[in-house]
Amino acid sequence: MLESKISRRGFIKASATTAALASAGTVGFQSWTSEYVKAGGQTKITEIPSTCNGCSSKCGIIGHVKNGRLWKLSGHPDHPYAKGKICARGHGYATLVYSKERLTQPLKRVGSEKFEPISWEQAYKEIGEKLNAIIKKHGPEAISLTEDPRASGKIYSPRFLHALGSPNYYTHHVVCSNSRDAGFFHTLGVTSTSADISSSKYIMFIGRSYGDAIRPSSVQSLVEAKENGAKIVMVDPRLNNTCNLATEWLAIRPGMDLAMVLAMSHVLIRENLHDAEFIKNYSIGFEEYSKELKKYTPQWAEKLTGISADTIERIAIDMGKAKPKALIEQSWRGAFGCNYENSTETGRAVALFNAMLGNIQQKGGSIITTKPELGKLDPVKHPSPKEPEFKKAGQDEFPLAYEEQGVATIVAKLAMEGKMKAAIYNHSNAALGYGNPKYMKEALSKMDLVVTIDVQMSETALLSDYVLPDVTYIERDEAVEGLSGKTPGLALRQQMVEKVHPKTKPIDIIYTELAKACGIGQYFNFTLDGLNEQMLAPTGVSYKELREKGVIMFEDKAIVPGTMPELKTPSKKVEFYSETFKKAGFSPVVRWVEPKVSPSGESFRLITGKQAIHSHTQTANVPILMQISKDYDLERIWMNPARAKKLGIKDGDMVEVKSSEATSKVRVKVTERIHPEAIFVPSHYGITSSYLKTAKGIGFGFMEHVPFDFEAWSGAGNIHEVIVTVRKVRS
Amino acid sequence: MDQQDEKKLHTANLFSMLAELYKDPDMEFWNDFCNNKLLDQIKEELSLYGETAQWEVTDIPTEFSSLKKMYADSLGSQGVAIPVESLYKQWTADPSCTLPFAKSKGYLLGDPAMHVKFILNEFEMEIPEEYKSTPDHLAVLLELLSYFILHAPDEFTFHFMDDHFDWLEEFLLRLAETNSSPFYYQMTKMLERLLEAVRKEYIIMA
Repeated sequence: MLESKISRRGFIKASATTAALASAGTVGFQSWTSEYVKAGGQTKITEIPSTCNGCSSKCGIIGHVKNGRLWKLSGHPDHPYAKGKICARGHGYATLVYSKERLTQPLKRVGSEKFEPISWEQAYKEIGEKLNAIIKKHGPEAISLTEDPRASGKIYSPRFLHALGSPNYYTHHVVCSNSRDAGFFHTLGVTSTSADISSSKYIMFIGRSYGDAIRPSSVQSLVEAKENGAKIVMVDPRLNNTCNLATEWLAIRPGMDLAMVLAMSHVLIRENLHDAEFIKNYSIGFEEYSKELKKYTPQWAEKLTGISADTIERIAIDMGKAKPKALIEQSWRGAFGCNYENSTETGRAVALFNAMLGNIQQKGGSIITTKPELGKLDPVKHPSPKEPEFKKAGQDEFPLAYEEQGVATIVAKLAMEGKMKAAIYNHSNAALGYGNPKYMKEALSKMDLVVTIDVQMSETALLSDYVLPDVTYIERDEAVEGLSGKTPGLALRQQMVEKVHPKTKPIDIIYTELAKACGIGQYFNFTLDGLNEQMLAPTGVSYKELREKGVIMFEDKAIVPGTMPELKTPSKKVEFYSETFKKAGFSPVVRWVEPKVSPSGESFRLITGKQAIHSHTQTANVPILMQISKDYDLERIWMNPARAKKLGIKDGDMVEVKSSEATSKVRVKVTERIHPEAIFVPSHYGITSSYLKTAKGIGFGFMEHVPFDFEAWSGAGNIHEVIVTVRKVRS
Repeated sequence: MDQQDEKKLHTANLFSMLAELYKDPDMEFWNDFCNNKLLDQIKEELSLYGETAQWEVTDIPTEFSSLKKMYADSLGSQGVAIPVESLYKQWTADPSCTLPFAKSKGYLLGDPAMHVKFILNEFEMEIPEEYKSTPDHLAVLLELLSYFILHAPDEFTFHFMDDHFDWLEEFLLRLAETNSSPFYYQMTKMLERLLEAVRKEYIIMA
């Protein structure tokens, strides 16, 4: 080699065999490609069963791997949510594995939105030191961890936090289903039921849209119900994408769902169409509820909901006649997951309406699901950290919130008050999606330590002191997942391809190594495989078998319709009257509750929801999904033509949306598909992280307009308690 | 050593030096860079191909931190134009691949990367762990080219050049569109011209 005046960092290492190059023939790209493609027919395709991560459903998928790369994805035929299919988000999100916009190495913040790469060792050391210093000075109650839970996270995250002495473990449900969960839990003893849609004769959805989310099997079962002649009523201020399967769309005034359910309950009793036998055997407090319902007449509800009293009566009577194969679908976020000040009470009223139909555990009704019993780590070899000595933050303020999930936004409130000093966010974009972003940003900036574990540079990651790069779900094994449903089962997420970026790590390893740095390594003296072996022990399924099949359902343990289980409520029965609510300072029976804010003649209520191609903001940076959004202008807000005309707004015009919190500019879709009182904005847009180049600048984030707030019952985010004005502006 | 071998040595040296420009800069590199040693030597070698006349480099960073930032903003993993071949080419030519992005550009570990991996594997060559997901990074490709010029048959080298550097035009467009630093644009423009000049010589040799 020519003597150089400069130093080199040449990194090609050639072995003695490289000398063979001298005699090498041409192995050009074209001929290689042709051989590679030709060989494709004969190349072994490895099929690895796993689970999707495109949303929280975790449907079963099969990864087909060729030459070490992902080559094809298909739905797992045995998985109850997938039934052999994958949705658009499932296909789209898988592209993340080969995305150029992933986090690839640990980062430390060195300025506003400025980061420098650091080693894992340095990250662990510094995070460990800071956590211990905070605990020493402020106690473990000043530390929190929030995540969108996945199989491994559900085990490792709370264990890590408990080992540090803190109970402050939270999930994303505060902006998902906290209200519904609280309403159902204190009524039926479960946070949710599962609707037996395909066997049902009369189905009402309130704000829930299978066609815009979430599981392929849900849509299949609704199609089946329709083909079987079921009536399908869609209650939604928006004509959503499930309405093509509906018999009827009721364009309800947003925030008034509780009034409708109360009036329907009133009619059921008045017409003696409630299931008196079921109520007598399996419930308490019906008399008190019945008395309360007397005032909620269809005429009363008509004024609030905008739906005629005749329609309310007709539907209630038809549902009463169709019982027990009639139901109000339990929903998820829908219209009462976390939306209005009355959402917990709406959840409770829905659960009680189903109970009045006597449909609990009935074919075509609402099923309290079952789950396989999984084993735990050997307590002698792997002792668990002791339960923290004090309550989770937020529990005193919101005692009705489902304890396992907590009220995640309490972390921000306590940070503002100087009481919460550290927050770890695992796959959770709290800064953009959980509460008002301005508030969240300020709150996060007040803490001494914020750590984010993620695959992409979310807005929360941007506000963090340390960002730890996870591998994608295509590149990792996870803990065994117990599937709850009418039939219990098991599923396993498995690594399909070698990790693309060498410096990324799966969270089981991150927690194990970080625990060592924090001095709590003794609680993580097990491997993921070891954990999975022990979890499977009571099921009679071997780890090898689950690895091969990916999904195993226990058909012999399926729920037998007609058998009512003992409920996990204090009375062990359906609670029409709740002492728990009374003790928490709320009405023991459901009562009408006004939404917190109401639009005037000039303003609108801002409502949000999903589109079938995205999962909130998680998928916004996936180019093939965002391209669909761009091609069809899906980021636009929806406005009713009558209101648009008054405001001089035409379809496609640029408008300004103004609330007490923010001002945004966006184009408008003028459509009859939206109630005149509401503006609909999809929940997937408004990405501000400059690292997410595909998504940044498309549409606006509805959370920017949502005042930071807690629903009084469940602590949920009240994400529809937002009033906006709209005016036409120049493009 | 005959004249042709001598020229090959200089050419290999030139590509090896250019490879340095596309790696994440460290202090060692900066020491050479700030004394103009690197650019001077590149300029000297370029005279072999008569490129010096068109040599124009502005916006040369004067501090290590500026160079680091310029690299991170332009070519780093979060930069506007990552110099990785797969990102500028269809992900795979395999018609049986049903992934939704199979025929799209913009994804790592596409067929070009698989081909480079194949070459590395075939000849038992190793690259650092950090380039595992990007074996078709421009820095790797230039080092490989430098090595092949000296050690591989001319036909092989010619095909390698043909196969793995035809994306630079699109890369340059990306640099231009995003208004990133003129420095990397100018260096890459020069690299493109140099490759064309060397390729022409290889057409004759091969």
